[in-house]
Amino acid sequence: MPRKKRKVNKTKKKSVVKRDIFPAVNVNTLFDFAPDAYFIYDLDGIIRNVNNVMCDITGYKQNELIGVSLLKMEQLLPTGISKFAEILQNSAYGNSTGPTQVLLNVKNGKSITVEINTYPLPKESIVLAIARDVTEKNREVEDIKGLASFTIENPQPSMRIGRNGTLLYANASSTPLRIYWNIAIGGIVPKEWREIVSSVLDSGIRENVECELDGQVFSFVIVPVANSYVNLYGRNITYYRKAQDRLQSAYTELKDTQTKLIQAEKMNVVGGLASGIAHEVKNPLAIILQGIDFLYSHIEAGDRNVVATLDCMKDAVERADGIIKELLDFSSLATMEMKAENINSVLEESLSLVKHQLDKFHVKVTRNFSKEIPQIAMDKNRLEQVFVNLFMNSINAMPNGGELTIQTVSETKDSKPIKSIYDHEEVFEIGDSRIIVSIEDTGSGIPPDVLDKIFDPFFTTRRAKGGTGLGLSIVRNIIDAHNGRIDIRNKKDTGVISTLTFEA
Amino acid sequence: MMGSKKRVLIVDDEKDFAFMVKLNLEQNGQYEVETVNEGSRAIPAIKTFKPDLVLLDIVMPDLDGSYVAGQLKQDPATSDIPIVFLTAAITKEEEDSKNGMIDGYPFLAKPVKLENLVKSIEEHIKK
Repeated sequence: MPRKKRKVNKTKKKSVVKRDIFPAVNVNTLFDFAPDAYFIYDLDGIIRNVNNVMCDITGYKQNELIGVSLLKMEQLLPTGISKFAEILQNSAYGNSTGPTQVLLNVKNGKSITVEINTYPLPKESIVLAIARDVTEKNREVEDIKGLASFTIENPQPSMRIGRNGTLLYANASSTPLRIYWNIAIGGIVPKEWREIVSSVLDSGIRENVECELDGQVFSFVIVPVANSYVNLYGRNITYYRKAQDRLQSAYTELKDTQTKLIQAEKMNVVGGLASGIAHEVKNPLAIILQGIDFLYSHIEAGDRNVVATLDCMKDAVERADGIIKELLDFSSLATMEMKAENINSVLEESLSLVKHQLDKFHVKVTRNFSKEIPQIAMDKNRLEQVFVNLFMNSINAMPNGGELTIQTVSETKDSKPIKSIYDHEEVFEIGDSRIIVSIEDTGSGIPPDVLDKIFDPFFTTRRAKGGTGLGLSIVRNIIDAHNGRIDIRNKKDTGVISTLTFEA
Repeated sequence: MMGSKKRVLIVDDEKDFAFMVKLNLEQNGQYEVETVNEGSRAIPAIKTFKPDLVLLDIVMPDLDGSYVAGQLKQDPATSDIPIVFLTAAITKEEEDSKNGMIDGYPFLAKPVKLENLVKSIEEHIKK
């Protein structure tokens, strides 16, 4: 009968660590030079052996430790004896223990915390204990926890988001935002945030992003870290924003007030100037008039030319006096009296003041007065002065007749485009009510090259006919003093349209 | 009293104006006119000249006419002399609204016609 051949796997190799590679090293040496504190105790808790490190960290010599019962070392183990008793019990059952942290009072008074692992060697009825000083490590852990609490306790939101949009971390202050995103830690943030995260990680440059939530405004600094995630450091800037807005409107109000003050100051200056000029001019006029009166009674009777000359001179003096008076009126605008009036009736009264001229030059008047005009505060006499001036300008432009059309309209500026012809954007805000008066004629219009001069004091095209040129400059000042605006331009067909806008 | 002229003192820093007023008022022999060109010299001149009426300018470089008027009223020797302000420093509105009185004194606005000046003098002069 053939024998079964035993198959041997010839490729199999045994790897054997021969114990005699380290012939000079014995166990005692390992024990003595271990980096941690090694000690051996028996099942009664008595220390049988300690290594050098054990002596180093406890401060006790070998002969102070060997033979001593750990259950009786109150000095060394101020709080640890009960723990050690537990360890000993486990050892008796043959169980390893650890890591257990125990406080040691070392010989020169310091205390350290050690982490002890024990390994029973049942055959020999002894236990190997390895103790490692973890005082420093514990301190570091506490430090790290302390640092971490900055983020945890931070009243501002702090978060971390991974490259794929995972919310890796969010402190308590981020909760409102997390709720808004409807995710928990570990969830994916909304698309626009994922895009921001990608963009920041790609560019490697931190970005600032603002977002609004429930009436609160947050500003986030998004910082890329090692191309793997971004840290978000948030700030609630709601109050800052509100303060900014309030500052902006305070600034605007200040500028408005400044403008008004400058205007008032100008009026004061003009007032001062005007009364100074008036005084300086009236005195010479007074002398001349006295002189003329004197000469009247010292001329040859019947010398008509001399009399005529004196008459011309007297008229001239009176005309000059008239201008001075107008100038003083102009400068006394600071003493306007504002009362609530209906502008339609003021227009009507002004028309009646120029009725004679309207009839004389065959000017037809058309009125489009809106009935729903609210009353506004105005100095009625001054506004009559304004309207009379504008009417007279129109009449003078239509010496052979024409049409004078007057329209009043009341509007509230809302978000829709307004119907009126001219839009004084820079003056009126959405929500303002205003009254618009327009006065149109069919006259010859204003020559384009003088259009920008019409409001200049003393500019007139009618000096030969006695025009002083003060009219429109006074008109504009009166309108400004009413917080209104005036616009005068040529119509597309011939004629001029004056538009006055008042706050309602 | 026969033929005695009425005495008018005019206080005005405008020399030519005071000169012309004197010329005009004296031409018919009715008035004797003294001119003073500095407010500060008004009171001594009034005490010397003893006018029946003072024409007083208001805006003067050294002394305000109102101040001079006040001084005259306070001094018993001069308190009964009538004063008429003659002033260039007034607007038409003021002229119209003040019923011819400023600070309790009658006034005329310059430039003034001679006839109005005489009318006012006659109205207020000490009889």
